Amino acid sequence: MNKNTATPPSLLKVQALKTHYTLPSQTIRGKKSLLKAVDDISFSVNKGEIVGIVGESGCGKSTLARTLIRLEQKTGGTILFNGEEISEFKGKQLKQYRKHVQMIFQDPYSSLNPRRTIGDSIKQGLQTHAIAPRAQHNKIVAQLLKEVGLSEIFVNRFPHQLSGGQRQRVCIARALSVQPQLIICDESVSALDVSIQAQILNLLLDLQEQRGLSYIFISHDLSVVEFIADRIIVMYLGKIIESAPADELKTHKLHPYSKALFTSHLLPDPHIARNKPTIRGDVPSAIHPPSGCPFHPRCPVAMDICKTRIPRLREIRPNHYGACHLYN
Amino acid sequence: MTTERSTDSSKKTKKMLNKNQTTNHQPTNQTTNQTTDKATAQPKKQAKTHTRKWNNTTNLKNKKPLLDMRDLCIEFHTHNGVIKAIKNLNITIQEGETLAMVGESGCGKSITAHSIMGLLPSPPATIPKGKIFFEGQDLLTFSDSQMRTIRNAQISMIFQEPMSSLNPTIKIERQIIDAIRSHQDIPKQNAHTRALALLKQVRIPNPEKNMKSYPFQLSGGMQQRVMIAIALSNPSLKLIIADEPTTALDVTIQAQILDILYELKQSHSLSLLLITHDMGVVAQTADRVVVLYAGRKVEEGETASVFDNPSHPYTRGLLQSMPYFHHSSSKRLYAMPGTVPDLRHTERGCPFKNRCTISKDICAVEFPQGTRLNSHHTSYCHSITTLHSLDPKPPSPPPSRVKNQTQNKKPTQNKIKDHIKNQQILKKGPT
Repeated sequence: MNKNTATPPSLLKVQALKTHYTLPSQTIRGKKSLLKAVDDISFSVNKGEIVGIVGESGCGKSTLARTLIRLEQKTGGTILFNGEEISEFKGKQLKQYRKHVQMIFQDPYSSLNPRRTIGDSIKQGLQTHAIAPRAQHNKIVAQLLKEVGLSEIFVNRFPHQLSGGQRQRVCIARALSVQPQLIICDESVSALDVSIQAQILNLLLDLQEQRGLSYIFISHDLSVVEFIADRIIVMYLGKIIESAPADELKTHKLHPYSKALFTSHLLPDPHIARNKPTIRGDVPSAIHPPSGCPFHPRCPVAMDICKTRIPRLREIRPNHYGACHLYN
Repeated sequence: MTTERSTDSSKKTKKMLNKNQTTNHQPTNQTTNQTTDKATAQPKKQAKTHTRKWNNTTNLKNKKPLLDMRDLCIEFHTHNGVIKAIKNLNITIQEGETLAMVGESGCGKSITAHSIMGLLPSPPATIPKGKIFFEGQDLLTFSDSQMRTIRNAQISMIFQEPMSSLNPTIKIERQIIDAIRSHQDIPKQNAHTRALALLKQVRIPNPEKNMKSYPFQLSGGMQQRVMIAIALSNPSLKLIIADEPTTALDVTIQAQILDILYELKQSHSLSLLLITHDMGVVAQTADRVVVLYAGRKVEEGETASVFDNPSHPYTRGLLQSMPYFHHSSSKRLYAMPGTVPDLRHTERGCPFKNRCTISKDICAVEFPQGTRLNSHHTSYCHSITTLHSLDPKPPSPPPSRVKNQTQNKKPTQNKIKDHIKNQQILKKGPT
């Protein structure tokens, strides 16, 4: 899937990425089990592009995000940032990488230090990376707060004095303070109310326009991802099962799981009768994943081949990739 | 395939229940037996249409009110002053109805639910004014022991986070049996059979094995099913209060849980008070909607009427800020300016005035009287006529979504016609 994106240089290129965890055995002499949280994932993010990642909880979205930012060690594969392999970064290089790639977490309540003022929290990044002379830091913080739509008086406030939406704005200001090229938003608007969510999404889009940022936007809210993303990746049990430009995916969903996921989403319109959900049951355990296609036990159109062979991700329509035996 | 599976499981339930009847002749078993009969009949019907709806307003006329809240006020006395969380709230829930309470966090949805159940911590909470009538009796005058005969017996509550509402140290089998035996004097063995039947009703796979497990061994969806089973444990149940029952769950599981809730509500002829902030859940499940803002009811009406013709600037803004209703050329969502007001500083007038684009001088002085748009739809806004002349077209879905739903086209068109008619009436003056 990376062949076509060769024309604009990709900012982040992930190839066959694997993050596996070894779990302790249940008995003393028992075998250790392996949890494949992220298994053989390849995609790329171009400059100025918004890549959306959707999937149910436990499909490896967050592990992927944490691996990309090196909060987790990968087990295999390559992560190239501006053409350089990030897993070999150490010391200064790693610090530089962390400056270029920032993350905004889901819960603005736990991702801000409760004992630091907002100003201090934002200043941390500036100090660590020596962005500007120390004397200018206050001015930069005020500027950043203004950029995310908060007034200057918040500098001396503590996180508990702020509402959820305001805190998320502070988290965005903190991420922006080090002038990153890529921001990973891990469920960044999920904890917010609808009206505040719209404000934050607009802010993210404005910043992308002004600064030429790229985003990896992880969410379980399909309507939000459909709205914001240029390209959508659907994950299931650590694997990519479909990947396509957002407009293409809106009209042509190929994988039965994507179809089921999008039909399960309840539309805010009382006149449209919802479609009957085509899948039942929970996501199977990632420790003992089903043989063959990981989706086959829940799939409404499963065939015999699905039980034995894992489908490969291939280009089914132009620039639209899917991993399903239906399209072989 | 799926329908087959569900009928299968309900057949099993029926068999099991019949067995149960031979050993234990109690009225409870009869009611549950009837319910499974209906439950088996339902999926067959739905299989034909392939689409289904959870809300059905047609048979709601002329029903008796089950729960009637009158002028309810709730205050919290804190170190930082008095927080007026709920102000003069009037809500009625009819028998067999699904009422959705919508609003942003902090608007008082959960507090209202807790006040019905008598779960408000006092102090700091006080109820200075108001009444909550349940079948004609004021729940606020009940003593603790009287409330205990209501809680989980006639009114049950399902909470948002099943993990924190279930006891992590007790197997779910005992938790359900405890819930059954707390209100019915039946032997343990019978309670066990009934618990098994309940777990089958909420479609827990392999119930014999799963009821021996601890809550942490089950997934979020399974835990929520156990919560529903506990809520349904008493046959005298009349009202379920579901406080954000699907917020913590994935979309695929959300649909399954709402399915179960709907089927059980229909078969046991229950009323449902659904508290949510998800407009998708409201549109698909509720018969009527109440929109709350900063402790006040700002709009109330039948679901279709409110969604087609949102008549309060807040409801309108809420709907417009959803990506689903976004189909303008610019890639920006409609965003309401500002945030929810701080309830510590009690202000006169309409609580929405600072965020409202069409506020008038009077909005700062007094809270508006309700304006009736039709027999079931009331909006609390001073500028209601201005609102309609501003934007005569209600938000409509992007055409791509409507295309697939040709059979539903007609009612929408009729609604728009009705809406235009309403507007003409409004321009002449409020009725």
